[in-house]
Amino acid sequence: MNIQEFYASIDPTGNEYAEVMGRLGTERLVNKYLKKMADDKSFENLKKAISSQNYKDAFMASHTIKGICMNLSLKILADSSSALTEELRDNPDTAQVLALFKQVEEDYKVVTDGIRSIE
Amino acid sequence: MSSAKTVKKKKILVVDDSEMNRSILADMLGDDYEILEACNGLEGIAEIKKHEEEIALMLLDVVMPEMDGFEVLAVMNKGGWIGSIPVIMISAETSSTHVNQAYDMGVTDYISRPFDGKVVRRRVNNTIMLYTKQKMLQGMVTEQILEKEKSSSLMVEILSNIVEFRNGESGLHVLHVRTITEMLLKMLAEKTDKYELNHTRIAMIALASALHDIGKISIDEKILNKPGRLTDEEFAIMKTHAAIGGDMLMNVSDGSEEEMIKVAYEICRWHHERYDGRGYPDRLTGEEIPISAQVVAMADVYDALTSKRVYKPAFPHEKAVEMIMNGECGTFNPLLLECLQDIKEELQKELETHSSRQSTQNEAQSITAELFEKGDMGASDRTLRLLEKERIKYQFFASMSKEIQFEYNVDADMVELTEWGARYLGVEETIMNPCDDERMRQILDKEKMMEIRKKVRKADASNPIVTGAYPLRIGGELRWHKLVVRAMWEGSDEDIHYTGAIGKFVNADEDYKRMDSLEKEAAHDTLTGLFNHKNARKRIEMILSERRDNTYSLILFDLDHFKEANDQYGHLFGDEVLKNVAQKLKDNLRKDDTMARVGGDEFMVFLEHGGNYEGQIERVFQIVTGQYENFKIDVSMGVALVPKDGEDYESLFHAADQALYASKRGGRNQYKLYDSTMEGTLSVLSPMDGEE
Repeated sequence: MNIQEFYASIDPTGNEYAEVMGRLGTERLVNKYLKKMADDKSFENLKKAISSQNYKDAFMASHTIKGICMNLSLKILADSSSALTEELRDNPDTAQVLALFKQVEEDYKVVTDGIRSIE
Repeated sequence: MSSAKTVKKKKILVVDDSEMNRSILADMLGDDYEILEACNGLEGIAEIKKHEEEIALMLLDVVMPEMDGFEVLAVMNKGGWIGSIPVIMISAETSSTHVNQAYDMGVTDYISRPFDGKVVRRRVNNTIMLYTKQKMLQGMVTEQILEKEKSSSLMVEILSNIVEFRNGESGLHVLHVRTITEMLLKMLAEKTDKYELNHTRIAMIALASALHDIGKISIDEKILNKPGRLTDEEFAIMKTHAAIGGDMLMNVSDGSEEEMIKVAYEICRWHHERYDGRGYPDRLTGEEIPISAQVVAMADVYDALTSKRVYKPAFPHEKAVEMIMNGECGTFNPLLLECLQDIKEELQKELETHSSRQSTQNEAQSITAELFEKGDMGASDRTLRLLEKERIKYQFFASMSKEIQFEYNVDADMVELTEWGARYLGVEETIMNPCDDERMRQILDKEKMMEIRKKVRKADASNPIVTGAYPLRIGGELRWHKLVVRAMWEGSDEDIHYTGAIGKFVNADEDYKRMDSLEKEAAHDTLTGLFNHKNARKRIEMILSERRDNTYSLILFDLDHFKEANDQYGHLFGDEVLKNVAQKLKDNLRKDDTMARVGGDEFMVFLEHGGNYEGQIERVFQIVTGQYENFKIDVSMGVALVPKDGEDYESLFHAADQALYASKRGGRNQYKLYDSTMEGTLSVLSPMDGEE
């Protein structure tokens, strides 16, 4: 799978690929950051913080993931992490947090699996 | 040219907790800038402290561990960094409260995530350009103020020295009045728009305030420094200082409409007017008195009250304010009284810690701030265009201003001149080892060059500008130039080293001539302590205008063969002869008689006589003739009588001059009374000096 195909796999419209290319300029850079994203520790931090109900750290980690995904135009993960971030910001509801986290976890897997299959 | 100038990249500080975000930004900007990274607010602040002077811009994330973006902004506000380091906030937070809060805390721009590479680059470039220009403008404004400050403070220095010297007041009075004036005006500007007081105007009035008492130069020392009450007559003389001060400034201005002179005139002439119309000299009432004079009047009264004078002890601050508020020291504009009331605490503190240097800096900052407030600051294209226009304008004027601009590189010991400067001086644009360069040494003495070099080397970052006045020999003629140089350094902290300087010479010949004429205007003849011609004339004209049946004689004389005394024994001896003659006049004539040295060896005496003018003239003749060491003092003298030979100064001087010439022709060492047969002969003021 090449980069364009990867983006097509999570966004059939092709908008996100165009967007990220516009932002970062070259496939070399996009690739570099996608790989970085896959290695980023934020998701692990998020998972740990959620399981220990440390919502302050969870907020920070979720916020970082959201930022990264927005930069890389990874819309599915950006949306779910954004929703989680907002829930965590003030008086988080444990049930809600867990439900939203589950979505983030799923999307994260889709995205990172995709990234790892990029040649 | 051997100066290898390494182009240093500007530094951008990226404060973001996400390594990836920092990395993306570094990729976007790394070609043009050096990127410093900090992974949270705390580290960000540490980086600022370390590289304060070098950071051209800061990109700041909001949500971060340890210290978030808003906390960073708070620290930057507290530390004063927000004014010197532009901040662009980058955040995924898009709620308008966030954005507004960021702007309120002084960020220059707000970019929301996800950002576009081009947008970031463009905004970063714009912001840096804008700040660079603002800094440059601020530098320009500071320099202009320094320049102004320089020439004005020179004037102030001369005048306050003279006044202080004769007045027994401390020079602090001038400084205090200036500080008080400035504070009152600032408060007044807050209260009302009525007087159209902006920063420039306030600065000008404050500067001019230093001149308020220059008229006192013409007042007899005995009256000025008399302990105890003045008699009515003495007080009447004292009061003339206001009008005289005004006249002096009128004379200085040679008709030019210079705003500064106008303001100074208002202050000198009207700083003793009173709001209720009971002041002097013109008995102006209320707002007829210019606001400049009103404010200086109050400042003058306050400082007089709180200072020790020959006739009174110093009152404490509270007492002085109370006395003014109660109207014990004249009536003032009620609005000004309000201002005084409002600033009184601050005033006391300020006067204790007053530093004029600091006030210049403050001035520069507030003017710049005003400039930018008006300019609707923001990174808009319009502002950038306006700034660009300003820059071009400045460059244009600089090239037109006939300034000799130069750059000095210490490693190469080399001076580079602008094209115009080199042409003007008649030298190459690049000069190696200037202190040893034959052509440079013809323009400016080697010692002077070494002196400048030493001064610049001694400058430091808190005080990098060196100024001075130097005569440059250009086309064989010495002309005064003002020098402004700024020392330059590279590196930071411990690793800072001096690299050279940039600066300029500005032709100041006119200024110095004007200053010179001002001094003449102000002073008596410095050698003899007699009146100079101008003041003698004024005095005589005043006496003549008040004359009823009084009779006077105007006696003009010069020393015979004075040139020989100079040639034979030297100029210093010649000066002693002149002083000796002056002293004899002072010792033997009445205090009210007008005695003046009106030219090189030419003296004038104006005396009232009760009818026996012959006896009186004979007496004056005997007084001044005599012996000084090896030199026999003889004089040729001409006399004109009031009213017989004229009733105005011009005719009298002319008549005495004719009679003097007749005495010379008659073989010198004699005096003659004017008669009409002398008319038509040459004048002693004409080329025939009588001493060839």
